[in-house]
Amino acid sequence: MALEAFKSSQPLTLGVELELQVLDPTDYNLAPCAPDLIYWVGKQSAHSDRIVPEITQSMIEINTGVHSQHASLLEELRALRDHLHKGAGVLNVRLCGGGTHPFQDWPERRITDSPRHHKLSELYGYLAKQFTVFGQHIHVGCANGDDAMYLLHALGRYVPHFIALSASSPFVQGHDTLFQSARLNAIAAFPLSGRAPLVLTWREFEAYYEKMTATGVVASMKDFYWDIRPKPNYGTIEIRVCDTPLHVSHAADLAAYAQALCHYLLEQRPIEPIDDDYLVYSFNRFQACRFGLEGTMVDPRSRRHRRIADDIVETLTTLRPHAEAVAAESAHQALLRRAARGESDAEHCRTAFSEFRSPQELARWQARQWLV
Amino acid sequence: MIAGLSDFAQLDPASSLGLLLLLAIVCGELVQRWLRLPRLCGYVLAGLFVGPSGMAWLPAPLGSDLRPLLWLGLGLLLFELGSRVDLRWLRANPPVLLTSLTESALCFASIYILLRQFDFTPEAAYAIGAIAVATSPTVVIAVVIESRARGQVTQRLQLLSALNTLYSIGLLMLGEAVIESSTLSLNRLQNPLLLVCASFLAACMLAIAIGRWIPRLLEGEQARLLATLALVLLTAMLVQFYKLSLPLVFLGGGLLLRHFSERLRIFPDHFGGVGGLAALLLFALTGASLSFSDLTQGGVIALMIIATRVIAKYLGVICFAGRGGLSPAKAHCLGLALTPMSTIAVLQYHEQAGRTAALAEPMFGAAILASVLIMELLGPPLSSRAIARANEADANVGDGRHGA
Repeated sequence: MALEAFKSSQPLTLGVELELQVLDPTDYNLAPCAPDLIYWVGKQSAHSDRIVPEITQSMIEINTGVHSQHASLLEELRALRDHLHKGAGVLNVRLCGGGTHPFQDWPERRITDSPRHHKLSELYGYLAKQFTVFGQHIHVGCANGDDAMYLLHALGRYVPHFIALSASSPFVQGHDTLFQSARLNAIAAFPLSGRAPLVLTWREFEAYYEKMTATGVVASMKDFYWDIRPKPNYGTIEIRVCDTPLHVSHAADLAAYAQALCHYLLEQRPIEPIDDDYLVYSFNRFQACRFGLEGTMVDPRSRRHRRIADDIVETLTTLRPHAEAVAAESAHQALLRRAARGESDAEHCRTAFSEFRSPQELARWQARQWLV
Repeated sequence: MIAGLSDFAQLDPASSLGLLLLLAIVCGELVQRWLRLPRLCGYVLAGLFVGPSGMAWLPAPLGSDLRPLLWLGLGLLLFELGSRVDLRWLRANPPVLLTSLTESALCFASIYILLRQFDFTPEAAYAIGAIAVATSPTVVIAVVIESRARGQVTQRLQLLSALNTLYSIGLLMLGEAVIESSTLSLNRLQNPLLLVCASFLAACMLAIAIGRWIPRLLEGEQARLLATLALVLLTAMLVQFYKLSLPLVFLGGGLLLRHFSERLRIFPDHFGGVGGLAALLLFALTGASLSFSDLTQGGVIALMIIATRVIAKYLGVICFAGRGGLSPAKAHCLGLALTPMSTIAVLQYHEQAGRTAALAEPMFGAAILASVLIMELLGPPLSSRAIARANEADANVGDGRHGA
């Protein structure tokens, strides 16, 4: 089967998909009320195409439109958040961010009633219910497929940044996992997770795709659970490693970081990706998931080890003119502050948990944070 | 052998209680496994077997030794239901309040009209209508916990049940004030008002004690749970001693706790298994206090009351469901889920019959008790099916896992 043509879209535009938790205010466990929320949204005139279901009924996803600037993206995220908040009030549920739910039990989750999700559940067994994790996907527009493939591989070096900056899932099943982002462990179990093969032109990628579909291993682009994935029908590359942050403002900041990075990479082409770059990929990725900003990342070329937070600060410093070029100065500042202080949503969760000593209180705190 | 058992059972209430509980547990399991009905139906059947219509091992008005257990069971379940209901939701979603008022009003009015057609006295028709307004909160909480239900129908069912139980109590108290005279006078209102205020006060104290003092004074879930249980038992005895309204105190207490408590999970779900025991006691003892003779006397009327009630509540829910954010499919489920009628009704009947001579006519008792008998067996399955149809029951329940 042939891959669809890469739709040319306005370069460096942004779109964000955010998966949110739907909570039952009786005990702040997950509530299977996403279908009811979507029904409610459908009956309002606003935003009905922006809010969609996910694999289990306690997950709801908001999709923004296409934005060229951080400010308008943040505005839409806030509008969607507030709209859903109204619906949540009507249905007596709560919404929150965070990469995992602090104490939910995967067997209790219910698969969304749609043919595609039932098929996934049949194919992947318990992995489908375990996939009740909540992430942020950032889309960056590309003019053509070749740019997309270049960015896909060039951004690989920065994957630990995105993981460490967004990490917000330290608790699973009521216990501290000691990870900053335990969410990505749920994705790792899928057979087609990991990274794309090192091809740098869209033509070569099409050839690869044909081989994969010819073997029958893959039916569509959606079957690849890579960290960064091209999306030809949108004309974007999609960064899929971020946890849903605790606040929408941070989600917008992360998207702006991706935008500035892509601006820098496309303009200056500082590295040409080679296969050896991926020698350290898994290690760096694990370090970011486990230790977050305090983790160690290795530069494959210079073989230097450095603290992820320091690498982020250095990158942000390099990115300053590019951030200005895409009007993302406030996002740039906010991220710089966080990285310099070693601040992360995961640590905020831990602090809150140590204060409340109850996973339910933590979930309730997350729900309050979401509205800030 | 049965004769021998009868002798043993009539020795003292404790032995008959032990037999009853064992029988109830077995019946509950059989009913769940073979008939796919909620366990509490089995408990009721066991109670019927042991009660006056069956083996008559337990005396017909339950002895003073056993009634505290009934109150403990009732108190725990009512308190748990109250604590799961957030009255603030009514502010965020006014159509739900409209739904509540509509279904109760329709139910009351239609039953009153029906019974007047059958030559019931206005007082009796009023009292039965008022009692019928309540959807059994104990059945609701037992079914919700057993099926581990979560979702919109479940939430609304709990809320509507709590509210219509309160309306029912209110209507009965109002009725008492006018029952002996044809006009509402301040004098007549005094007693019920005093009762309401005192019960409300007791509810507040219960909520504060469980919500604030226990967590502050005791560490550890076990200690807190035991203290909560002891407190509930003590409160139940006090309520009966001072003749307060048990449903008002415990349901109200739970509602107040939810409304004002900042911390969650002061006690575990279903009081960590003790709730299961409470349900067992409550439904088995309720079954033991019902009798088939009520059916023969009031069976026909009871069927009409039940049918009217089902239709009225169903229509009441459908009216505002859409505006309240409920999809049509779920609205149908909710309408049917409201049908249970139970222990509270029996309690209210006994209280009313005891208090007002005008209700001493036998048809009054027969109609109510027959309705309760039928609904004890039909209501829970209807609610349980409705929750399952709405896809809100946990699919894993009943597969032998812990807690299932």
